[in-house]
Amino acid sequence: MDAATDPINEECQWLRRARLGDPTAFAALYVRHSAAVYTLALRMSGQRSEAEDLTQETFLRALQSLASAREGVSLGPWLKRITANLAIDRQRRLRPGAELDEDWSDGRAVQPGDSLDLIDALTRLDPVVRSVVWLSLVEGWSHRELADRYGRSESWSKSLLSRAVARLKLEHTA
Amino acid sequence: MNEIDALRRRLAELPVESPPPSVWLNLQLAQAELNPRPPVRRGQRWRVAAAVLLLALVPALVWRIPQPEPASAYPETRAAALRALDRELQLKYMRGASDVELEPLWRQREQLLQLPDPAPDAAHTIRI
Repeated sequence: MDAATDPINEECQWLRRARLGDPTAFAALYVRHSAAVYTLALRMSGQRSEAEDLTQETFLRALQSLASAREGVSLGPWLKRITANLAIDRQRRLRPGAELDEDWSDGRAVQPGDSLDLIDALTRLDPVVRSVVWLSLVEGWSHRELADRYGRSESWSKSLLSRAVARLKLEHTA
Repeated sequence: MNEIDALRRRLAELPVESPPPSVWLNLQLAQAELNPRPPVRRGQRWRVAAAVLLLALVPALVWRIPQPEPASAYPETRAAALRALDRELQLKYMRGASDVELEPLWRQREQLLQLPDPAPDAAHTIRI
């Protein structure tokens, strides 16, 4: 793979040009990473309007923090970390320190024989629960990291994940 | 495979989704304000403010109602976004990307092309 097609080298060049204010370079970074950022925002928030806000805010923060982005590695993980932190901050602002109720759902009852697709089942979870599930299982966050960001204990994170997995298994039939 | 691993696999297989073009447009307007090069020329700051207000209040109408020409950065950044998308598609094809990987980029491109023509003064053929 030559320098022109090596994705990491390419991002490095875009990053340097974006730091100098090149809009084409920033556009290239947006094109490469916006879908992954938006999908993460959507999975955590469960709402498209909020996911759009989170995506926009992520790239705005990135634009203002380009000097701190590391060269030589993909910007994807850095951008998704910004997104996740923004989403968690929003969740903590909306419900500071509140306990999750036992139901975890949005109130819609699951009828016997219901077959929910997985996205619907995820959306029905409490936003914090949904975020813990996604960040842990898909984004690879450790329970230590989750506990630190939510201001809770590791056992809280593990318990939440365990119960959510059981709930998703109950509601989602393949 | 235990339950957690099975769920992890199913979650990872969920489709990737692309943000609507309004996110990109809003970013460009914000970037035009933040970035001193090229500067937003005097006399056009009201257009930036008008475009931001329009996009914030009626995002669903952006693609349907002809809008006053937005910030001077818009035509260039729309073209820049299309060039970036095309280059990304080219690279992904060269690397043998799957249809699943390509689909979000094609969708983004299609949405961007559906935006109003940013160059109304561009030369065009008139039939006599």
